[in-house]
Amino acid sequence: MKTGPSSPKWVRLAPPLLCVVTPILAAGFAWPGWVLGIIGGTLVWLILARSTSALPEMEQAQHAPQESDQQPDVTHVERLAQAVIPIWAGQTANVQRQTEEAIQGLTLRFANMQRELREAMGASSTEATQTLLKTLEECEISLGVVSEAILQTRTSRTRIVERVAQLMSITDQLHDMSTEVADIATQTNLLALNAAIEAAHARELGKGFAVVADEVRKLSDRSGNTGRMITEQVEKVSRTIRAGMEESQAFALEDDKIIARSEATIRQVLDRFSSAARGLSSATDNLETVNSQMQGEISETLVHLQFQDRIGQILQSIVRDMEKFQNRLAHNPTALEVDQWLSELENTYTTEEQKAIHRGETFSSASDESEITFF
Amino acid sequence: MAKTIMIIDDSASLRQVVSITLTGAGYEVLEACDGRDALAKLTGQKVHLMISDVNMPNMDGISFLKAVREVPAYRFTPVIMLTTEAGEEMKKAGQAAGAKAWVVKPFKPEILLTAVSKLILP
Repeated sequence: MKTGPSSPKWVRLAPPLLCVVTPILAAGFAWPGWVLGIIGGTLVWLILARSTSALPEMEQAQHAPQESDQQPDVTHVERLAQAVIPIWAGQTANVQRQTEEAIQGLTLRFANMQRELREAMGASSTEATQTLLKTLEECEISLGVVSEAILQTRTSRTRIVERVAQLMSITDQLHDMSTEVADIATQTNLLALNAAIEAAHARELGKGFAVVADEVRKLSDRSGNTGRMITEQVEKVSRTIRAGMEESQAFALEDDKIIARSEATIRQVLDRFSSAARGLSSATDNLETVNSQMQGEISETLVHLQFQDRIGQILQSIVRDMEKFQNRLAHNPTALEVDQWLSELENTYTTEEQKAIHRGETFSSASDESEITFF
Repeated sequence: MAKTIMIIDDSASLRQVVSITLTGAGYEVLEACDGRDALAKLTGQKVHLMISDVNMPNMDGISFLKAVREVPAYRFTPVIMLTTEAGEEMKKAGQAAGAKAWVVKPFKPEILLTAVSKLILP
């Protein structure tokens, strides 16, 4: 569809307006989009205005070449075009170059941000958190072993106390036995005393028996003394054992308290570490999520920054056509064939939106999805 | 050892975006600004895959593709065309010249990397 003088006004305004709006949208309303949009729209408007205004003149020139040669205004317009078109082309190329440089700078910065984010959040933080969690797990196991060792010590102590208690019953038996020895000695002593009395009654005949009775009495005295000494020693041993047992029982109670406190402390420390590690892990997960989102955003930004390539091609097409127009004006201005010109211009397009704009069709923005074809 | 990919595009910013995408995935990158520059830089290089624009000054992408197929070392090296051109006729021309894939700009990095990983020679 051509945008000739007979076209409705909105159709003639559509291409320049689209040239203004497209770069602005593509750049996400950033300044390069505004600059490109305004310049691109102005150029397209000027070219279309020039071609539409030149059309009746050219048609007139074809029908009445003699009259055209005589019109000084046409020559004036040609001179103006010759002067102004290189300036437009230069300004457009300048804009293109500056935008290209700016986009390169932006791309580099975004790429650096992406790389730094990847490096900062890559394996290191996750590995650190995993290492911490593993260390805590190992600490819990080690401290569990320590607790178990303490419990075993307490069990051993309890067993010793039980053995000592058994020893106490043996010393009690020894005490009873030594008491009985002392009783036997007392009875033997009484018996020897009675024997001595009976020996005295027998006078000369009992003298030998009296000696035996005396010896028996002496032995019973010694037995009684030994029995008492045994009883005293057994009682001493019993007291010592009892004191030791009482002390062990007191220590065992104290140990129970210490073990309970130690276990509680270990559990608290582990719980705190575990809670801190969970918090750290959660924070790391959140950071990773944010990092992933940021990577995605930057990746999308890099896609959108490719608008420069499309804009560059559109501007190149315009500049080449302007140069061609200037050349034609300089050499053979009356031989301009509008349909042929527009057809040749269309053949220079590389993007679908250029073709749509050229045909005056409604242009829908380029799809966000990359198109790929395998051969 | 990292595979080497050559990017041929007259737009420096576009080359930069492609280069960032590829180096981020562990590839090494060579750059050329048009077909003629690419042919000159290919000499003595081991390139495993090429990504070329179509519309470029001096030598366009299709002419480059035809020329590079005449170089024995690169007769079978896969070439991906990365271009704003989406017309079927142009795609057919690319296929006839020996392109293995056609990606329309603007490209998504993951899409390009998918094409590269599918086509790159071991």
